[in-house]
Amino acid sequence: MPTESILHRSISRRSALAAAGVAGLALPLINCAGDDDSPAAPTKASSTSQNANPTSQGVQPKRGGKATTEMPAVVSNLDPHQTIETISAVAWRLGGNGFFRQKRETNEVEPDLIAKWELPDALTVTLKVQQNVKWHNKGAVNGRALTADDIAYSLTRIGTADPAFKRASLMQSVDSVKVLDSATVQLKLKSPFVGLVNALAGQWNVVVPKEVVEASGDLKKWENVIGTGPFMLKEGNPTSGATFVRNPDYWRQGKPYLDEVEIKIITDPSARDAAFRSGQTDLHVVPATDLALWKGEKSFRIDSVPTSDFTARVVGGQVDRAPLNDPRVRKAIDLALDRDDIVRAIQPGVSAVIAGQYAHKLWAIPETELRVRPGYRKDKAQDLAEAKKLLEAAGQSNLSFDVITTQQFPTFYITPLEAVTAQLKKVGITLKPQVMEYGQLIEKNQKRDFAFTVQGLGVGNSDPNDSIATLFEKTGSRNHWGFNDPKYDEMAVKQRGILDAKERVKYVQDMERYLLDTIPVSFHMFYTDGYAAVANRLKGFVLLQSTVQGPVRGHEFEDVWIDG
Amino acid sequence: MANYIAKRTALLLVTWLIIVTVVFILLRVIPGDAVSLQLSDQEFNQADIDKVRERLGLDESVPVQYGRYLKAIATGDLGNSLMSGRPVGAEVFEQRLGVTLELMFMAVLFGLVGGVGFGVVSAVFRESALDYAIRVVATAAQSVPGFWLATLVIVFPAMWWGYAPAFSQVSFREDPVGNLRQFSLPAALMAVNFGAVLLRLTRSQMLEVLSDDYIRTARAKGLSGRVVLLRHALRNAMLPVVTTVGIQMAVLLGGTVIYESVFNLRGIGTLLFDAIRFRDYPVVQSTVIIVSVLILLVNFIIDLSYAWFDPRIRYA
Repeated sequence: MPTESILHRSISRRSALAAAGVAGLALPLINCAGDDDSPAAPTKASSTSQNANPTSQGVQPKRGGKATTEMPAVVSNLDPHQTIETISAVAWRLGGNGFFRQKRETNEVEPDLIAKWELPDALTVTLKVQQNVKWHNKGAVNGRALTADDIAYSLTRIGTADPAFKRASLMQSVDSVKVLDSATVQLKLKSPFVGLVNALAGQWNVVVPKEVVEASGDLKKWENVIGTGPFMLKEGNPTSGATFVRNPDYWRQGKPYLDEVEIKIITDPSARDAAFRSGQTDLHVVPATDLALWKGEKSFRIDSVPTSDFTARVVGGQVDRAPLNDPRVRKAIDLALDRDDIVRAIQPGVSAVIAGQYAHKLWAIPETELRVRPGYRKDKAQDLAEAKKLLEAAGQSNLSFDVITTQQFPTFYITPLEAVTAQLKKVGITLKPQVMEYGQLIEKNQKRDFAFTVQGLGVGNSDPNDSIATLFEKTGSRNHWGFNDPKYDEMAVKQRGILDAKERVKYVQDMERYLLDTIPVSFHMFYTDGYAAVANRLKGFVLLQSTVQGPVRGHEFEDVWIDG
Repeated sequence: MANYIAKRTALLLVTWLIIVTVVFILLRVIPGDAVSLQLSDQEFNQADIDKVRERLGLDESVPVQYGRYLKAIATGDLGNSLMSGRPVGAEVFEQRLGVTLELMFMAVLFGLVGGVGFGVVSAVFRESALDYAIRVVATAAQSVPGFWLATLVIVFPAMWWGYAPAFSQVSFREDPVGNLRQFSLPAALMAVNFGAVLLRLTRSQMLEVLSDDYIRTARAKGLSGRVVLLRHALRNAMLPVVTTVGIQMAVLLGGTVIYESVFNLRGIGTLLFDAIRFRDYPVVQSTVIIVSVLILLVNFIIDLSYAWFDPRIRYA
């Protein structure tokens, strides 16, 4: 799957990681206060819901009631710093708060327990802690006030140098975490990384209580979900779900409106459909390919939101070995790919925007620009003719590759591989699939023990730096193709230090163009709209990208109420 | 009889040990391992792999792991899940096993009642319209894939009438009626194929038995049709049916994963399915052990029941 992960859980971890990625859709908010004065994000994820934001329409929210949401996988590990399970993020965004969070209507990074942040220089990040915040009035924390020490503790814990901590790499650039006073934490960086705030806005990056961690050793179990969030855990079960009740002492005055939120674990997609239609859940993520089945109903509405993420869908192999060490061969493959055809194979009948390296509106180069690039043109005749010429010039008119693939996560492996096989056949390249178990494929990736691949690689944070650093820098942990380009490595370092947000976006897009020209691997990226069915009685709900991609929906319930 | 039981019990243990060993070895020889899968969703290097391998006890040689594993089983310790860290024994016995056993029990009950009942009716009224109707339904029931039928039963009532069975698990202790209602539908669906197999077998056996001389003799003696049918014919026709029940138990257990998944029941089937995907060795091994014990026990009981069905059978 895209994230090279063990996706538990009937939906892909691609989606889960994508959800982490979209949390920071906004520009890195450099030198800005975390308030409404912050620069507008260039992308606005709009919900088409008719009552998307009733509060702004003067509708008075009602207190009370219970909302039920679905989750597609059982719980294995709820510790937010040690897992990428979606349910962990949901639970901890209900029961806790993050350093930052995603603005409901626009997906911009907005304050959560960090009220304000500044980057006075490229190597310093100053975080101002939200005041008057209390931990849940239970367990070891017993309603005590949140302090800067709690923020520092959680930041440090995320970066724990142990393979159990899934996002430790986020903190690799951080040299020290220092508490300056009761309300201020200062991060000193080893090297510039202006995307750190974006990265920390990921759904799993929440503030956890030190006392509970020390008492339990970890936060894997439901009973350890004790935070500062709008809801408090009432009961939880690893296989059936959990119920949260309203936190009467929540620091955002007047919130939440609901008395209860239930997470119902339903692993089968058909059962999730049926549960929603029969009123057992109030919210259901609808696959774009199933949309026609969901239209025209009166008891619920369909909300949509544009999706985007950093998951890299790639086609290619070892660039430091023959024959792919010849740029003409890589270029020929790139030209022969029909990206529209691949999308049709993966998501039949769904309208999609073709992208380059990033399927992400903010960071991607525009589709209009891509469409005139060789390889991305709709009319493939010229591309195919050029591809054949290049292969002939390279003396590789009858190429054949063994391709590693797996039957797991078909939309990232087998399905695009089938389309690519037919496309490359047209220029005389034969692909021979070697179907293997997913774990074996991961090993082969890691050892670079393959000649060719068609796969998706998830990139797990909210900033393009992760894609740049892990997939294409010489020392990148997932540079499975052996790409070694000193110029690109220099650019990678430089983009991490560009303080001006707009300038950084422009620079990252230039890097993307550079990769599209150099072609270490070819991309077949795209993005579509995501959909969810929402019960009419659920008011104040705004569909987020994270919901349709995750589905991650924790703090979304803070502003939701029941009417009807 | 006691001698027979002792021998069979010893044989059970040997069979079970072979199963345990084969599963243990197979899990370790198939490509890809649990550690790579665990780390696959993050940046990792060889040092991380080594660290996790050591933590999980997978750095030791396979014979050492095997010895440790057998010792643990002997002491009732099924280990902890590699994924969740939770004790496997608690997960299986406190949460999962009851669900699967209840589902299986109800499915077998429905299958036996429906399959044997309609099989007898079909044989008694052979070549009638009723017989043809039952046979057509039985053939259809055997042909329909269970997952398809289960999905239809879930999806269409929800689309048309907004109805679906409860997807939250109802405890038998807290709400017996609700629990039985929840399990009835998946159990009935599980019983469709199973019952159809029994029906066809019962019918053919009954047809054979009903044409035997001793049945004619029984009727000539003046015994009522009911007595002849139930006491003389059915009992003698049941031996192959009972044997088939034993064989079908393994099929039914394999099928639980589908029904548990579609009806959102958390039993052994879904546990095993997830565990295999994530190379969760302790969970896979323990679940297979338990499933194999169940199947071995059922077959053992069935073997013993032969004497009841046919008193001529003696256990040497």
